[in-house]
Amino acid sequence: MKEVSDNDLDREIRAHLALETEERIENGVTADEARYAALRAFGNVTRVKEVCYEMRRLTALDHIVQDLRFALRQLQKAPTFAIAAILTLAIGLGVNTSAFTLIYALALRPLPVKDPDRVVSVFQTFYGQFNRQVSGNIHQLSYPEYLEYRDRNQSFQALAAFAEADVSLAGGHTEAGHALLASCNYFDALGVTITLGRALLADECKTPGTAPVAVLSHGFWQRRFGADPAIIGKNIVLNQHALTIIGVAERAFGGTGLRVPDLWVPITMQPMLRPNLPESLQANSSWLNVIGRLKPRLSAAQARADLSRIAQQIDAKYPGRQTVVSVDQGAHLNGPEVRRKGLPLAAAVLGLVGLVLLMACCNVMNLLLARAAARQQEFGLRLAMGAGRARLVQQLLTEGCVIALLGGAVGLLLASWLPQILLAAVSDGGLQLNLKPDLRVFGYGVALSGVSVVVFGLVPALSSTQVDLLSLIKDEATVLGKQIRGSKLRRHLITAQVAGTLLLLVMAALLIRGVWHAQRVDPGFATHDVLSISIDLPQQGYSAQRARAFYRDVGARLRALPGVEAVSVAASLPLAGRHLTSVALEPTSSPAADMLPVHFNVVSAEYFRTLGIKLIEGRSFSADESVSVAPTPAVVSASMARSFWGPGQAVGARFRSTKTTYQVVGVAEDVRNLDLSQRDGPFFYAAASPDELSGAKVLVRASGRTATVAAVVPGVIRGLDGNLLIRVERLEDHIAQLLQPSRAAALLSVLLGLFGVLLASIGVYGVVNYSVSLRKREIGIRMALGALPRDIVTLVVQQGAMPVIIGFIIGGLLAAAASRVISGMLFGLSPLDPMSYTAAAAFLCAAAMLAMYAPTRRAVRLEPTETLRLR
Amino acid sequence: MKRRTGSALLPGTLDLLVLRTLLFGPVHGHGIAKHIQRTSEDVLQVEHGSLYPALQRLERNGWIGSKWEGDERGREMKFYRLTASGRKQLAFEESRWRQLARAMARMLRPV
Repeated sequence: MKEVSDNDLDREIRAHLALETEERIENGVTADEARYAALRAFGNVTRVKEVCYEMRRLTALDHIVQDLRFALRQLQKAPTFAIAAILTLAIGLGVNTSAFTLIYALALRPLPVKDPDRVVSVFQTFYGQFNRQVSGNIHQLSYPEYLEYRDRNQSFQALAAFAEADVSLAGGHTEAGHALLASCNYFDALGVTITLGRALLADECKTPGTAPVAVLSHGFWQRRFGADPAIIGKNIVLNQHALTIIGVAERAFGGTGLRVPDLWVPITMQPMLRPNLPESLQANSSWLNVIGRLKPRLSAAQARADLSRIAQQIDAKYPGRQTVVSVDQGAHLNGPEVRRKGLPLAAAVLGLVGLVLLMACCNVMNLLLARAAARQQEFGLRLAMGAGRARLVQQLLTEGCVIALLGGAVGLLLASWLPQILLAAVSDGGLQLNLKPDLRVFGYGVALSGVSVVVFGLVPALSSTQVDLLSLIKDEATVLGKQIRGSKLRRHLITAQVAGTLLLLVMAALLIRGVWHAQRVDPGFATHDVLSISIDLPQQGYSAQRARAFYRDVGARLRALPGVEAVSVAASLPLAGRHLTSVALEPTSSPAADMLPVHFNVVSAEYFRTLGIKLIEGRSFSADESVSVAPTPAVVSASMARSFWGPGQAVGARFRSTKTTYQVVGVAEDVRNLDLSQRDGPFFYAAASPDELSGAKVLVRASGRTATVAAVVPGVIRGLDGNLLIRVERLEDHIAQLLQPSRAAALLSVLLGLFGVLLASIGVYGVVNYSVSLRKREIGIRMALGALPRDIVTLVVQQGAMPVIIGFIIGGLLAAAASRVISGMLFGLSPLDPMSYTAAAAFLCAAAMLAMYAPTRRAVRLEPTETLRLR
Repeated sequence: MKRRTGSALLPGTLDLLVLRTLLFGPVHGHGIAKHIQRTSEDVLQVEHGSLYPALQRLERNGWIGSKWEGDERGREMKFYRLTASGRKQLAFEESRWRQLARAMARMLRPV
């Protein structure tokens, strides 16, 4: 395209005027008059030049600036529209960015160390036949494996290992502490600065149990020691072992796990700090997380090949086992297990919040379409004046971008505090995560805004600029043609919104009903009048023998308290832990056959009385039997008695597990030990055996007086040993905690669902309202011809109802498909629970009705004479 | 206010008129103005100045091209001529105009 310069135009105009003047002179006018007439015929010369100049000046950039200004003006002109669109989008974007922030903080955010890009985690996955102890997850490494990898690899500057340990901190009052058992190169490998004192030395990890030293975290140093600058060299007592404090880590370093540790201790102190894992330093046992810093210019894949070579050599010692090593970018949550379980969960969460954003976009699109319809005249005029369609689309998109930008800004604001609240709601404050939005979170928000613009901006911009001069002039045709087509699109949007909202609401209803169901279900044992007491005997170094004596003394003292009816000990609390073994009937015909998996618990004599579990046959064990009688007395569940021996045959029968032989002394009714959603299958209670009792819980029954008893229990127990860490809670509260994840999920989906309802209502209102204004004339004519208000209501509602009904059907089907995913959180409630579907549908239906009410009323109250005069 | 004897142009029609004028060969701005006036028997009055922004816009759209040349009396004038896409545009606008005119005619038919 050739550009015209100012000079060119000047010359052209001068030539034009000269020619015109000349012609007029030839017609016999005087020169002066001719010149004057020529100028008059031309019009305002300066103005023409200005217009041409303006036209040339407006380059692409000018267009953008001009469009921006225009867009802002347009939004100012319609503040309600602007606020509705921006807020809708802000919530949609805010919720999404919040979800991303949480997932990012958990699994993606680089560790708070120097050069986090070079830090990787190492895990193993076993295939084939293998035998492995697991305390943590199976993908973790054993200490011997770690040593092999550390000493023989060629890819890492340093390879460090760590494991968490819950410890008891003595001094003043005993409190629970969180220690990290770390290999002595831990701080060097991560590049963490020790601000006070020194880091661990390699020598301190040589011989197990010989280096009682600790490095404190900055937070713990401040909290527990008031940031004492002379702390180095002082002692701290952990699990009855005195450790010397040698350093304080820098403030920024919050550890490599999800929880910020209080202190780091050499890994070789494991026997003292994590005594419930005997021989871990030698055993073939999964318990260590391993992270390492790669050598420069080496990739994770190269390191993986290197470690795989070593893994093959280790496998040689375990015939039949194949180890696959994985090396991944280091993050707070990591490892194959997290990936397997976490990815679908993250995808589900992002999918749900994405649905909300999509609905928000639908709404904004709806608003834009309605507005575009109202601006058809303007567009038509501008097209007629010679504006290109691309130009109009560009301008409408600019408006969309402004909305998205403002919405995104408010959304990011929302995302800067919403994750904290969600985290607090989900985790009870036990989790500390860095939720500060960084460049990636910011980028995610911006990218999402960009995607939204395309979703909600492009369609209205394209569809509403298809105006032509002809239909603009023939106004009536517009109503019957183009705009109806636009409103079809809007009705599809409503269908999508209603479907999405119903999906969210059904999820919410199911989760609420699930939690409610779980709270009301009778587990079969008393929870209200029972206290559970945890005591940190293993951490305090109690041997099984001492623990047994201790529990006997505790039992005696607690029984003496007023209001206490029964006291017992159990290896784990019902619903809170599982022990699985394989048993066979004794005597058996075939030795190896018929080993059946059965869950069990190890309990003391008064357990059944404490929890109010009825014995149907036989008796419980006596206090003496709990010590060591062979065969070990056991009480079996009615279900086990029935399926193993048949009615009335159980008492006196024997069965054996891999280690122990049991004799049935009684049959207890079936309760819910394993799962709130159903009664246990075969289950048995074994009389307490000495080596299983040091980590046991004490259960106390005190009908109606749990509060007073709970208050004195710690004092009574400390009378036996003043260093113990004691936690007392009602069994009921303990079980309520098990519902926490479901409750959090319910809360989240209720929030999302309500937001969806709001969006869908606005959408329905918009569409119905708009169709009423479009059909004013028609409604007027109908009324003039004698239609009753009822007919008009039918007419209006029909139009609004159709997309809603289709949305209901689609949403219901989607919910039925998607609810299977959460069936694990429903405590036995069917994912197709009719109540939940009905309630969700009814709620949404009511909201849709409400949204249709105002426009319908407006339609009914139209004055026929007025509408007919409308043009 | 002085009343004009001719009618003002409808919006959008100026483009059509300019393109139509150029159908018979290159013409300069002044010639276009004169031609419109003459062929419409002075019914359509074009303010000469308003022609230039229109010409500039048409050129931008690629519908016309321009070149400085001497006219029959040797004056340097800027001549405009129709491009291929201008020809297409003309056909399009013409048909639309016919449609509109037919519609208007039907509307204004004596009852």
